[in-house]
Amino acid sequence: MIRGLKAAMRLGVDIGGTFTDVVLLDPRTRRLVSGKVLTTPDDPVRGVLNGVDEVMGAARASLEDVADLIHGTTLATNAIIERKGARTALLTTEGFRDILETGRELRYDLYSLSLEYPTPLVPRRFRLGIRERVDAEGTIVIPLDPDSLTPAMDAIAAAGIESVAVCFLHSYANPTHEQEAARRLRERFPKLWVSWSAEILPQIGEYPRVSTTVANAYVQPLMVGYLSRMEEGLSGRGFGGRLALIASNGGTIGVPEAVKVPISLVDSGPAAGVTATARLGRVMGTSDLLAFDMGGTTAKLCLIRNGLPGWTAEFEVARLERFQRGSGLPLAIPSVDLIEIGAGGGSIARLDHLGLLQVGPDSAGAAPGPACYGIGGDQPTVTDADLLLGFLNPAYFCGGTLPLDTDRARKAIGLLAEGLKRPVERAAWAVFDTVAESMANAALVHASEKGVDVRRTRLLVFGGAGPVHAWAVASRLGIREVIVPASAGVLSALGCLLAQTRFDLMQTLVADLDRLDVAKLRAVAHGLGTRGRALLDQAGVPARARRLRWSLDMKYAGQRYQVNVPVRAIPASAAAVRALRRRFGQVYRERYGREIAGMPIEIVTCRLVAAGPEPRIPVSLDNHSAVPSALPTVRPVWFGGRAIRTPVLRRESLGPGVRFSGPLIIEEAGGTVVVPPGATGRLDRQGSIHLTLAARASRRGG
Amino acid sequence: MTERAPLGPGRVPSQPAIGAAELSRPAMSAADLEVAWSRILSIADEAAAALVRTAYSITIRESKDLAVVLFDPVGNALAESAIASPSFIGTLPRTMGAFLEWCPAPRWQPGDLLITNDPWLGTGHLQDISMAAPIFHEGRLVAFVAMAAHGPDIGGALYSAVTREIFEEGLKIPICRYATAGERDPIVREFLWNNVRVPEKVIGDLEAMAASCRIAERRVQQLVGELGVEDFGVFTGEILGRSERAMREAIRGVANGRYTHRVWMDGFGSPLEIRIAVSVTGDSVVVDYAGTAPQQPLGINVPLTYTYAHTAYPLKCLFQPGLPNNQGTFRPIRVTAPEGCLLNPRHPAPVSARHVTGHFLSGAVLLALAPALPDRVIAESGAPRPQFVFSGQDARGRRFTEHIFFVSGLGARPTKDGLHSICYPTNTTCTPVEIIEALTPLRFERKEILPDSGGSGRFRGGNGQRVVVVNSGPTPIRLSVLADMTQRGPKGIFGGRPGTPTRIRLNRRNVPSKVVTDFPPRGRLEVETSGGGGYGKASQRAVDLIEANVRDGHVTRKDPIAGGRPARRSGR
Repeated sequence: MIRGLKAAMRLGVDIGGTFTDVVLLDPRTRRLVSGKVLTTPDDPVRGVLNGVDEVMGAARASLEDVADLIHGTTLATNAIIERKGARTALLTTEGFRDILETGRELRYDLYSLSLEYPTPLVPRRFRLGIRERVDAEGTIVIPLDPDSLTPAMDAIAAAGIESVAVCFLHSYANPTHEQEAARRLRERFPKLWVSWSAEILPQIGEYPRVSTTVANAYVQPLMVGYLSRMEEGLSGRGFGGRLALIASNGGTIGVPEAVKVPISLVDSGPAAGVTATARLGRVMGTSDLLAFDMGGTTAKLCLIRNGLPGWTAEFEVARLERFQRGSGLPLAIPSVDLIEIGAGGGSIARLDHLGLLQVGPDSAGAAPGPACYGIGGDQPTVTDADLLLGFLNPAYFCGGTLPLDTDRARKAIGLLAEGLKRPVERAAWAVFDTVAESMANAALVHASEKGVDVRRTRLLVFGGAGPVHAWAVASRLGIREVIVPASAGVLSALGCLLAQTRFDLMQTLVADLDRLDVAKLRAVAHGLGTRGRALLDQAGVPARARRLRWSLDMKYAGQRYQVNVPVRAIPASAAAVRALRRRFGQVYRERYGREIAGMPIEIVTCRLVAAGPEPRIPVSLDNHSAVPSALPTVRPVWFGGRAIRTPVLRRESLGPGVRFSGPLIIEEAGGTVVVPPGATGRLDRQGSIHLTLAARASRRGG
Repeated sequence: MTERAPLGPGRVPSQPAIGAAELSRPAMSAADLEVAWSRILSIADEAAAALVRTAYSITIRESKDLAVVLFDPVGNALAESAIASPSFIGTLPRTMGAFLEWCPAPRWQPGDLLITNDPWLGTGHLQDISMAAPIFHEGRLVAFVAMAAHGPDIGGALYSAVTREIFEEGLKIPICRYATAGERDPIVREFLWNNVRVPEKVIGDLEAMAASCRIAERRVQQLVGELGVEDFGVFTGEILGRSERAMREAIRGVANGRYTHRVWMDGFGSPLEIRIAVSVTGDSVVVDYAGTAPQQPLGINVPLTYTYAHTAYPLKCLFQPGLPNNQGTFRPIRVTAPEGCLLNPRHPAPVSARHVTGHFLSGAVLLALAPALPDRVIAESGAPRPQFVFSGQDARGRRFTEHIFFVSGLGARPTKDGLHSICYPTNTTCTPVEIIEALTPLRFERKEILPDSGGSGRFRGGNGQRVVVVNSGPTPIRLSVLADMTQRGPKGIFGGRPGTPTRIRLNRRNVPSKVVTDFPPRGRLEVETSGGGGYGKASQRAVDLIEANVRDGHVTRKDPIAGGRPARRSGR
């Protein structure tokens, strides 16, 4: 695929809600060229092509010289949220068609009598029961009845169904019925899209499996259309390299795999940002990080331990109550474990019925925008508060392309100030304080669920609003070191270029460790290994660069939760099984503080991560050309109750190795870094800013 | 039965927990208050997350049957975890009051851990253990943390509703010191160890609770350190005051009056009546259960703590669903029941299945208040959800005991239908069919929404479900049924029709709602859970809703009252 040295340029693209970011990496010049264009929601391909044209133009390079284009997209997520997917049907084991609707039977809000759940992606009339049954061991109890398939297929034909999900009970243990049903469907309807659950997610637990399979079927026709338009558009511009996508697990996958399992692309943009964070951290020799991405609408937090992002086997999309766990559709796809809270630059501040200050979760977004944008918004937002506190420069927001209106911000925050009976800067501080507190609280609960002491991590910050707020969040968390990487504004696009090819494969087999059938386990692993190698071949990963990482989901018998136990190899001998038992005990102890002596242990699921090599990181990520240092200007900046005369510098004027101390504001087109009083900082050779906060940072801001 | 034991949220002063000196200080600013308030809520959440993560009990880890509550030094509840059982939220303040009575505040020292599972002081049955720990800052008692969690075992016979005295139900732990200044009491530990089936898990869960207490302790100390002890007192007084004022204001919006209702439960053989009178006077509510059936020689009696919890819970849903819960929201609510009745039994009444009765109270409260709050109440829901305990051996000879719930339909609501098959008024998650089948010889033939089970009306009650389970193993399974609502369906309101009753059949024969029996090999257990009651007259149901119901098969054309004469489209 890579056609010699000349073709080694690479493009990374992140399609966000408002902006499409494009980053071009040219290893010859070791330069990074980046661009931001507006996202085109009706057809995101247009925005990508606009951005690619802009960046290639700026770099005076040709698409023919680009080896690969890797991108992250929220298209699949949006299709589910906006219900723009295909007309979909579901075939289930007879008697179980409502699992998709009744889910976990749990209320996500204890006190609301009016709570609602997202409407299932397949209405009940298209959920069709099929006579068949397999038991937990994989034994066929009732053979698949072709006569019960016929009326289902007639209904599919009559209703003009475009895509079908097939999900039978225990198909993870024996997929033959699902395969057979899929085969008959394709036979009768050659143009129909069919997703079967044992292929998408061969994992025990019927609700997450059916929910994920249905979501896959629902977005498949749309994603296939999008990918082929993208391929066409790019090849029309001379692109002959490899088109790849970032999956929710933070790795890259090629178009063929994306077409088969498009649901693995959900939430891929944020995953790329976290991947970049983890890589940068390792380059800096920092393996324990808290990634903090604060944009216009939300903030996202992700723990990175031992250089790897946290990982989750399940997350939710299309939440009805945006930040309420349980109010969305669960997708059991391996993904980067991040939490999202409604705290961004556009978050609206108000006094609630108790007279308390609330910030978010609703956002003024890009339209009507914060009051200071002067484009119609009049509600006080976090950005308005940041402006009044002196953190933001009204003449240099987004590099001066979006001038801010201080009077409008003052008027909007003034309304709050009246209610709070304090001066306007105090009210602005209260908004700043509240939003920092809610982000810190979310991080603490998240860290506690993971058993991590956040004080031992460093905060790596990106996103437009992140570097303004990072110090306040860090000091609340007891984190002393904050890192603002170069290109913090386009880090997710950059992350696309740092991601490795990666496939997460799994297969449930419930096996008792005391009576482990080693041959059976090895057969399962062999099957996964064969698939993993084939996928890597398909993605162009040479055999010597393959990395296969095995793990087993295990638990004590009778428990229903599992821990993931990484293993070097799948055990083949009695001694290896004994070692596995010890390893499980060790992992369990690390997670939960103790082992349960004498309790039988079970293996539930065998997992394989099949990955390619990690792309090399360019020496410098800095896209600034150094300019002669200008004399700093000075402006009053509010830190808590008082305004401090604070020097303001341009990021471009700082060279590697330079040291500075707060209070200080560092401005660049992509964002503003706030260095609080008492903090010290330096710029490293990668262009990252490192802040060290004072040991006893003022928490309540005086 | 004339004696009344009024029960507030616990035997604690109803004044704000701050001294006169602190009262004279200016109130905190709204912004600082919000920051501290969200912090203390997240402390409770963090402690709950730690408990979920480290507990052994499946009901804690999977069903999340627990609650963590922070208290001020005199026992006012300040904050509760978001992951919480409505029962425990209501009982913990009372338990904390009992701990403080047993050991007055000045006698606590750092590292103390008090525990109890006394149903009359705790959660209403022996299965849950409550624990409390003091929190000191620079030598001063500043707060308490308390929690309750469902344990893995407490000894006694197979868990059932058919007990005659509490002594059959397991080990009762009177209030005692699990630890004194950090030192575990070996005698307490030995008593526990020798009376339960899985001692290492029971002790393990207590240690998980202790660890969770320590997390709350550290975080509260940090908060107090930042605010200062004085300001922390101001802060706690302030949030209690604000919640109380908001709750009272909401109650003032209800017309004064005495709202009464009666609901019937199956009981055992002959029906039992629950009588409720909700008296709204100004800004407070007194709920009285005078006239309710006497206590029974069956484990369905409800200690007053649990009666209080399930009475206060629907009131909170009605009046201030969005407000963080604390002692302030409880203060305007009083609950009384004659001693010796089903809802305030005398020791040693059996109480193991107190939830089977207690889950009726939420419906009773809502039905009683329907005339006063027609746009907020919902019709009666399918509560209690039937519970089944299966205990036996699988084909490999391994013993298993599984608690399985099948949830019912939610009552119809003032502006929309009830939800199908959802857990109410408690909140536990269901175990996946595939997991039950992997752990036991049970095989499911069906688990599906039951059409037509919700009561018809302008808005329909949510449908229940139909579940068919077969014993596919070679040996009989002991089956304990803890259910009710089999003799009538959940009531509709404002002309809405009732939902269907719960039906439980074993090999085509009806099974009583409370029984322990054999589930033979190849036996077939069929359960139909109740649908919720309807809201408003069926003749007023919008035609598009009727069409959608029929199209999706939630209502079949067989239903004689599928919606009556369509009146209008919805949304007009």
